[in-house]
Amino acid sequence: MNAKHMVLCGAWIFVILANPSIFGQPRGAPRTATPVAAASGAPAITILAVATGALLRSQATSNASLDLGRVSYFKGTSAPGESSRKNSESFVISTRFALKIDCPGSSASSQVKVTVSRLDAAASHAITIDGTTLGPVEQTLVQSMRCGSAGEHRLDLEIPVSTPAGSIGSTVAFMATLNR
Amino acid sequence: MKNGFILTSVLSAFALTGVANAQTGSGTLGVSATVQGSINMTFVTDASGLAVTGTTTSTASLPFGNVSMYSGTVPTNVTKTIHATSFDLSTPFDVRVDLANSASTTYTLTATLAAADSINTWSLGAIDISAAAPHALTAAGVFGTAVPYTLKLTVPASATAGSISNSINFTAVGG
Repeated sequence: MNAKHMVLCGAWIFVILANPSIFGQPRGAPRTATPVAAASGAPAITILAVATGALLRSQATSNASLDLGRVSYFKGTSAPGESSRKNSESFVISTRFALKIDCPGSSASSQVKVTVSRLDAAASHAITIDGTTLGPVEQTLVQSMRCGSAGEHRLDLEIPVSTPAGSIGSTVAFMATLNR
Repeated sequence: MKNGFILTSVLSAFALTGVANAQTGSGTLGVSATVQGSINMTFVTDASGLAVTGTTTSTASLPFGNVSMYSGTVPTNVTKTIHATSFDLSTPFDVRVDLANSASTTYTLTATLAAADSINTWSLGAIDISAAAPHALTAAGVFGTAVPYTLKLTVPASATAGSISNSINFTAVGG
């Protein structure tokens, strides 16, 4: 291998490491592990409770959990910040939360796109955010929002009457991408 | 070597562009709930019965209105039967029990008169419930179906005229 080949190999290794998406790995692949601190310039997502929403627990940077408590078809929910409604074959528990996006190192006018997906496929329930039913494929939640701003969202948990009593749970993944 | 340097520069620029475009951040929200099985009972006006006030709810009433043994009329779908020393007022009404998030297949239904009545006789079908003790109506009720029961109130001719009022508490338990 001569010097020219070494340079070429080095360049391609750098390309692969720096930009894996060009080799088919989706840039927006959901992350299930606790996110590490965002690299400088990358958007940072903070999930916040809102005054009209359910109790939300922050677990770590960019991670939070929402326990909607005991719910039932005929009694709905009694937890503050939650509402319920009955359909013929299911019931829906609704609450609200907020997403704040910061973009360290970016200008104040920078914008981000926010997508959302669901990391599990449990058929015991469905999750809808702002009217969009979540699945494994990323869907746009906010087409463009300013870095440093926060937006409020509605989350609906729909549970069929056929779902056995017991605990249910899902993980919702958010991805913020800086618009250039 | 000069060409290699140029190529390296171009590729590096391309790679750095990729870094710039890949500025993403992620977050996760865990959502959980505890689903509880629940059962609901409602009273429904029977097709052949007196209109239930509060039909399709779990608190209803059957207003017989003003009645007398020998005169007057009774409301639509109320049957009056005169005996030697008493008269009956009867009407069917429906009880519907629904279930959600439970594996129960049947239910038991009991009825208890709220206040014992030693003058008048209160019956559901053939069961005298006047003693204000729980009485089983069924041990194999079918969910989601309106089941008719006939309430019969027997008033003795010797009873003093006046208002008669009582409540029947129904309890459904999934089996």
